[in-house]
Amino acid sequence: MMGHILAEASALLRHRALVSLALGLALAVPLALGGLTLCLDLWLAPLVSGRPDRITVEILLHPDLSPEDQARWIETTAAEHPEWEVREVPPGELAARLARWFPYLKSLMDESTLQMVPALVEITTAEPTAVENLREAPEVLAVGPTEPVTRLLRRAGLQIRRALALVSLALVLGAGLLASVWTHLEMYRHADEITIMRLVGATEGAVRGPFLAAITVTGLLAGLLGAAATWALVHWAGSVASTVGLARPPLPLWILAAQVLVGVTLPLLTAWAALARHADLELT
Amino acid sequence: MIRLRDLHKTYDSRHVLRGLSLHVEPGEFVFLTGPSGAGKSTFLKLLYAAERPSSGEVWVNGRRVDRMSRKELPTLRRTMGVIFQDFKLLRRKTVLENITFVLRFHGLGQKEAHRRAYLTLKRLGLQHRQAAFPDALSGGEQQRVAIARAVVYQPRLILADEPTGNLDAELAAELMSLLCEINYQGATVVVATHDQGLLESIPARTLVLHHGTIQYDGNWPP
Repeated sequence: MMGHILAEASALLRHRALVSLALGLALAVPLALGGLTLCLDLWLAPLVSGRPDRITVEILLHPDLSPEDQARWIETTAAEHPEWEVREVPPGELAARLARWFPYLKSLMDESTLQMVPALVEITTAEPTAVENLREAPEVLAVGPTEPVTRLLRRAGLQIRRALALVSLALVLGAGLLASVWTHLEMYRHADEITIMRLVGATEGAVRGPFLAAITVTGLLAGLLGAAATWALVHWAGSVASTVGLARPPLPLWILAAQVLVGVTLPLLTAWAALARHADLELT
Repeated sequence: MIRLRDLHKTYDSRHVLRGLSLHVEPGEFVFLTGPSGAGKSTFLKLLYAAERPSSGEVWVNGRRVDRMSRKELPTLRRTMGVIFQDFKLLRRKTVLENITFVLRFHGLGQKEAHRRAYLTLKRLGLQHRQAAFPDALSGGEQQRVAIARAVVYQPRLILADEPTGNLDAELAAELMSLLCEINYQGATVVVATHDQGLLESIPARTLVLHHGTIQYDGNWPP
């Protein structure tokens, strides 16, 4: 029986090679875009994580302050405002941040030049406007925005993630619909053949097996193509992001595996449903 | 072998079969005749469960066909060979494959299936066309392939719907002699036809269907 199923599936694929390939490609597109949206979603995740009720304000201390005076100021400020989280950004981290946004500074970031860079302190609080008052302190050179870009980015990030989730859902539904339509068309194209097979005593397994095997191969092709396209798109997006100093979007292996799995199971399920419906419609 | 009890079949409001009851014993050769639209094809379709009766009972080989589930049908159909009026050949398979394909459902290996299919084709004078596709065959040749497919696994029951419709007199006679031989070996044969010559060629029980009822049941000519 397995030999019959494989031989028939192979014949189906050979006879309809172009159509099968077209379906594989058509399924690969939503799978690739679905994978890409998942990767972008993961990429945006750090932006929207954290506590939305607290924000971090950056403070630059005066460069003339000695390290001891800087430490004392930080300690005093933290003691005066216990509701604040006060943290000095270590020079190494500061250098990394500067190099990310201004890559041409990277070669200048050694220990001697870092001495010339003012100390950066981060204050995380629920009341950022209170930090504004530090502007008057002689130790403080500048106070960063208290209506922070991060809050704006977080809001935008959340909206983008919701949109991406909707797009992913629509793409998966589209892929399912596409596979379903294709399967139905193939079923009706082979309706006479299936009827004949049933009339001469073929079991349901012998009737359905070749179609299911053929759609599995097409789905596997779609899944692999989708995964390859996602890999290429994320790689390209990563190179664009890195030129402007942003981190590369992640591409976890589970996303590629999920694409192959969805590529196989989605058409398989729709084909199964179409075959069952066909059997019900036929008077037997 | 076949038992029908008060069988009715309607399509929408059209009554095709009206209260048919009959017995066909194992090993019988039966002709089914009547004018077009008398219900001959419907009668056969009810036997191989391509149709369900509107009411009544259909028994084949001691099993009630009208109540069979879909899962049971392949087993039933493998006990009978059906020669369809429109041949019902698989277009994308060769003549030989159309026959071996059925034998595979009977559990035969590829080699044995090929051997048996070839012998049957040879019997029907079609061995030289074994690699041809159905569309490349004449109507008569297609009919002979359909016959070969129906008889190749030596079923206990043969149902033939106008089997000589596309054959010349010589081939028709050859086919009838083949069906007689199968019948002689123990199979029950039911042939639906409106060909008077065919009815007269073999002395056999003849059922005359008219307006969905059996008008005559006996030897032909009456």
